[in-house]
Amino acid sequence: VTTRPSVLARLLLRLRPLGDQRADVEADLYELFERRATERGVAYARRRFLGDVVSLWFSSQAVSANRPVTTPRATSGLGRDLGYALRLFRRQPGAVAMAVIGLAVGIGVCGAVFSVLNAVALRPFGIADPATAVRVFRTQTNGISTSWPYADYLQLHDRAKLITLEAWITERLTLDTESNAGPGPAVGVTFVSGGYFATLGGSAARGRLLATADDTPTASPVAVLSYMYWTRRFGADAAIVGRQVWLSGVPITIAGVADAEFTGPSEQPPALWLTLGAHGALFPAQASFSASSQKSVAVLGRLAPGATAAQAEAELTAMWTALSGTSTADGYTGARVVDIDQRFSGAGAERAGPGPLIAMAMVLGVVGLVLMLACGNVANLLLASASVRQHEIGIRFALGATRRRVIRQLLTESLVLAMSAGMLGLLLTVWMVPALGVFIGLPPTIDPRPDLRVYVFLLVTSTIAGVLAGLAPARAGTRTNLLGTIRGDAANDGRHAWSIRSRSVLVGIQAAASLLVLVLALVMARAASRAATVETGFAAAELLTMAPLSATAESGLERLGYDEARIQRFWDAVQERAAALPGVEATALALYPPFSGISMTGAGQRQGRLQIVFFNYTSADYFQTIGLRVVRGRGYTADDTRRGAPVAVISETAARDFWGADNPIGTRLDRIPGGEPTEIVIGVVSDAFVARLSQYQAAAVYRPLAKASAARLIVRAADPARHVRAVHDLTRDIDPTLRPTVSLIADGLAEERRIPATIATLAGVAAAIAVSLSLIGLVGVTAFTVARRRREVAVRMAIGATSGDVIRLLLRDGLRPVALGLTAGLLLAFLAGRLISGTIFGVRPTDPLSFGAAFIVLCGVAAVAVVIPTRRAALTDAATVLRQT
Amino acid sequence: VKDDYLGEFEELTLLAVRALGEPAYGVPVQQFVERATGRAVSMGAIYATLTRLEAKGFLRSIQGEATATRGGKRKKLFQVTPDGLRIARQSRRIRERLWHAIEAERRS
Repeated sequence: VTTRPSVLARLLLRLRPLGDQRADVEADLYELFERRATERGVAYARRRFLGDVVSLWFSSQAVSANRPVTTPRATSGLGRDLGYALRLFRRQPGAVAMAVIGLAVGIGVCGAVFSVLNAVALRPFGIADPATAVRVFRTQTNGISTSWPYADYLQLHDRAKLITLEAWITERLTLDTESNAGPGPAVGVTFVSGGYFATLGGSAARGRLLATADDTPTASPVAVLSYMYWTRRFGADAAIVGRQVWLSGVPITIAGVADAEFTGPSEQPPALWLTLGAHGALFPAQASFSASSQKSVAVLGRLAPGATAAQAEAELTAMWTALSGTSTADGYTGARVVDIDQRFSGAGAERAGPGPLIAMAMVLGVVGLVLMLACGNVANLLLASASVRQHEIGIRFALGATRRRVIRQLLTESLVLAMSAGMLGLLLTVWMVPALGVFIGLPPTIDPRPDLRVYVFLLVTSTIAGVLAGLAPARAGTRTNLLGTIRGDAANDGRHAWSIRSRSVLVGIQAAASLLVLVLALVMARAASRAATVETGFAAAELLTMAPLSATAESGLERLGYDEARIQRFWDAVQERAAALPGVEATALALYPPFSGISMTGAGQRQGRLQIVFFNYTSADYFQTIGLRVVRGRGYTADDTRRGAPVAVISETAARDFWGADNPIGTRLDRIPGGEPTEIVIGVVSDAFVARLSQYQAAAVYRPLAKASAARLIVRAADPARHVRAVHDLTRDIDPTLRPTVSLIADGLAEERRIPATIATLAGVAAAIAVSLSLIGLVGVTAFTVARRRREVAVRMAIGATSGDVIRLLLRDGLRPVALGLTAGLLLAFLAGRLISGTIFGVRPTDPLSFGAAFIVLCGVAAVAVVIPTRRAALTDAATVLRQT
Repeated sequence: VKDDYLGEFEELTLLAVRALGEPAYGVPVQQFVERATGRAVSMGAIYATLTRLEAKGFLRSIQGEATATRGGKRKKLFQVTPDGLRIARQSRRIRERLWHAIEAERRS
């Protein structure tokens, strides 16, 4: 048993300022403690000791007997420090505003990135008692599998005593709210076993959740919407329960909406949940989930009260071994029960590449660097103000302020600054998060809006930023020779020569980075505006396309057991019925319809000229359908297509690139992508941009479509949107097992046009951040340098230099690192331009206009940043400076 | 500027210093007041009061000799000044006058 007062009491006593009375007071209190401990026991003595210490804190003049002059309370309080801070801000509004903006940018960037990380990786799943919820993996001799055969799952589910098992799989389907609307956006759908919600402990915000009774192939399919998707797509419509929606054309009734927190144990929360029993209705071509199904499911579980993960694991492994006999020939050995949240551990065997933690650390590292830069710049700014204020600080020391006291005041100032910046940073965060979410393709079921965790993060970040930015200036400002400061020797202090040089290097680097980012932003912006106005060369607005299987799968109709004759019959029927629709002008088939998400490029070669060309296989009526003119020769005929004739049609650009002024008709390429160079060019058609706008090139080779297995239909009509449902339905009518995807080519084009616009916006934001950070850095360093040369300037002016002379002198010194940095930045931007040349449209990456504009803008910014503090220094009254310093 | 007023706690503290006889430091004073009143008395209050009484001129402090029990530290000792004694007596006289009046009334 220790016979000392409690740690808290001793700490509080140590912290109470007691001056020269400390020894006395402590001796008194410890003497009392011992006396009380022997008389009334240790507990009593401790209580009284604490009481005495607290009483010391509450009585201000308790122990100031030896100090004739007591410091008034106000001068030692926080209120006084805040007062000083506000006074400073009133005196230097420009510098303070800049410091606040600089920190706010850093904090805002950090906050936005953290918000997204928070939404993706930190937000809880919203399940009850996560400690007893687990994932169940399958162990293999050489690893771990996340999936189980459904039949095995069912066996374990029915027998396990220590754990309740549930299963789920995830699919992507299109969701329509009207039966005859065009296919809606694809959404994530999770098919779950009947007890899923009951086991995880979700609750319903509207209607009801899924139950075991829903989980049969015969029940009419019902779905539960995620709260986020309900809000986003249906505007949180309270009348949603009981409504019908169409999932890839199959009618589904909405049974309810899960509560706002519930997302299920997945990084990408689904838009809605259905039962595994309903899976068959949506995928009639696949085997349904029956007792003997070997289809893969993911398995989670809830430990029975008192059971541990290890016990459950042992039980499952034993049962599984009994079920499968002793055969472990397929390499599976048993069960592994792990934490439900696998977002960080990543034990899943399917994961490849750097773990999520590493990616996260890298992102945070970059973002942290931005914050450090912001802090460094603001520290420079404050350093400048601290060196200007050395006179004031010196006087404060002379009047008896302790070093700690002055540091506290300076830190209070920078913390007030940081908190203001934090508020601004929060606004920036709120503004940036949606853009960031769009950029990284956050699914609509994830809500990245800041929550409490983000607010706490911003508070902590602001505090750290405030201390980091304020510490160096506070130390520098107070580590001074008292008399020297008051006399004005600081200006002759050569100790800061090195630090000025290193600050200049920092400014140079920032200038280079700013130029780089600004050039990229401008190039991207120009590319975006080019992309928005480009003529595609074909009738994009009048076309729709239909893929019989799925929008992205390249696998053909063979997968469904079609033979060549049936494929032919299928397409003939589709084209015939589509052409019969009122308003349809033409139909065609192509392997890669324009802007459909897939395209093919390859190298073509003729007489040593090697060039990338787009190639495509089409039906004979393709050119006329999408609106390409035959410029020379002829297009291929239906007969060519049927025979698989060795002929090709090329675009005007391809003709010019490979043949120059020669006539290509009747000749051939030396090398042609995707085939033998036997095809003879029989015609030249007009140019069209049909796939990646970013490549801005129209060299193309078209060949007859001989195998239509993976082909897609193209329909031309004056108002194609009107025919989307009809084309979908007629395809289903021909073969009900198909899941056709019908889309407007104009939508694909718009999507493609959005990419450069998105990149330009982001690059613009990055450029704004970089430029504002380097502006602040530059102002800070200049102000600091100028402040240290105030005495020199004053002397120069006193002996006859004009303010113009002085400004010229200071400008030359101040702008030198910027000029070097900008030059380096031009070089960097030139190199970076070559790297990104594949992603921009219609603008050369070394676009002189963008380079010139960025350079001029940054020179202007730098001049302003240097001139303002310099002018102020040059215009101050020399006599005042000399008297003061 | 001397303040003639003596608060109740100040009076108790002053009397405790006097009652302890020889020059006294904080701990015995606290113990004395606590035992005399039967109330828990904090050291903070004792220090504050001693300081205030010294400022008013009713106590004076001297540095005592170093003693072995407190790690060889000298301690600050308090003594009642003649002014302090006078104000304590005056306070007592006022109280006695009042008690006389009370008892006189009870007798009649």
